[in-house]
Amino acid sequence: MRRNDENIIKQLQELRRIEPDIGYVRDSRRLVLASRNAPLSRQGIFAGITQSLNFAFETALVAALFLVVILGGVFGLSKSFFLPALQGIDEKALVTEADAINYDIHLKLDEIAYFGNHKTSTERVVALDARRIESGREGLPLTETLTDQEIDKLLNRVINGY
Amino acid sequence: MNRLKKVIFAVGIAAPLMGALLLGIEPVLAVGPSSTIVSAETSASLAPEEKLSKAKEDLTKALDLSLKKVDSLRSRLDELNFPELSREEELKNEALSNLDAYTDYYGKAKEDLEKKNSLEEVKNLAKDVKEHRDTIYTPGVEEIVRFVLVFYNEDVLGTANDRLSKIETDVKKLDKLGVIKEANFRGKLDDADKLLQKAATLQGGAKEIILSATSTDLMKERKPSAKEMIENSLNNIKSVYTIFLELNQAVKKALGL
Repeated sequence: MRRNDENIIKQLQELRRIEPDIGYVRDSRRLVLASRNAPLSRQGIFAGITQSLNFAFETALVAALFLVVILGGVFGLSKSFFLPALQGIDEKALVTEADAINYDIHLKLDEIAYFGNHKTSTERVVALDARRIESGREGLPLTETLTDQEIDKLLNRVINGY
Repeated sequence: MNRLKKVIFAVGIAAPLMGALLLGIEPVLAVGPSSTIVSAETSASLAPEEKLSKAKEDLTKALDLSLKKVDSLRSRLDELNFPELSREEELKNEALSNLDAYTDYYGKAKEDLEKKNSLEEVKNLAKDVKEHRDTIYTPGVEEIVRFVLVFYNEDVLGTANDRLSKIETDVKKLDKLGVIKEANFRGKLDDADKLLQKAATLQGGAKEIILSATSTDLMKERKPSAKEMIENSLNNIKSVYTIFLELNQAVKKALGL
């Protein structure tokens, strides 16, 4: 019995000298060291990718909306810049020309009317006044026509007024 | 055409002048009508010397204005250039010599006025001037105005035709780009074209009468007269510009501008 105990003790003492296999030690060390720089777990990688994509998508969406708003506004405001040169319907030139021609024709028509059907100066003065009142342009000077009317009025005044 | 451009430029200058007139600043040729208003009461209360002085003043003013008016007509005629020995040139020279005669008449009347010492004499001179105006000057000036206006009408017609072809080009260009449909504007473009054709016929008719007529023919007015033809032609051109402005608005609306 005593002998058995001694054997057991001896075996246990031998067990103290047990060492891991060199290959196992090397592999285990490698695994431990590598685990520090190891990539995220598979689930972590997918989450990262999704997160990045979401951010990129959101940024792109905001940028696209921003562009639509800006370009839309610019296009709306400056549509005419994209049109070819329009000489005929150019508003400024057309309105200036129309105003000038209408004003000038109006003066010429007054001139024609003054010398029109009335042969004497008195008739002409009365007719021109009537025409101006009728057309609502009493206050407007009629340049040359007015000069003729003034001459006729002055002559009538010298003859009848003093 | 150059003359019309000058006219367009002149209108730009005329606007401030009009403003000046309305504000009471008197330019060289135009005269404010208020200056002629003298009531019977005021003139009755004047002493005989004052009446004479006022009458002389008025007659002098009338003669000065007449001389300025003649000069102004001369300038308008001088702006017209015609080929040598043409009928137009002949009529222009005839008109210029008539204007010279009017200048002589008014100049002589001014000299006579200085010698007048009584109101009766001044009144008689004024009657002579009025008689001359009614029988010689006015028919002559009427003829000159008609002559000048028929060529003005030709110029303004050219400008309106140019504008119509430019507008038609624009409409065709925009139709090609697919931004408007030419057919939607065709009606107004055709209306403008018809009015301009009518205006040209009237102007041509007036010009023919003026160039072919002798002074005796002009006294016996034909119907429609050259004056009526010019008047109608110019009114047509005015209507055409109203159509042009409507077209401008319609095209802008179609483009969403």
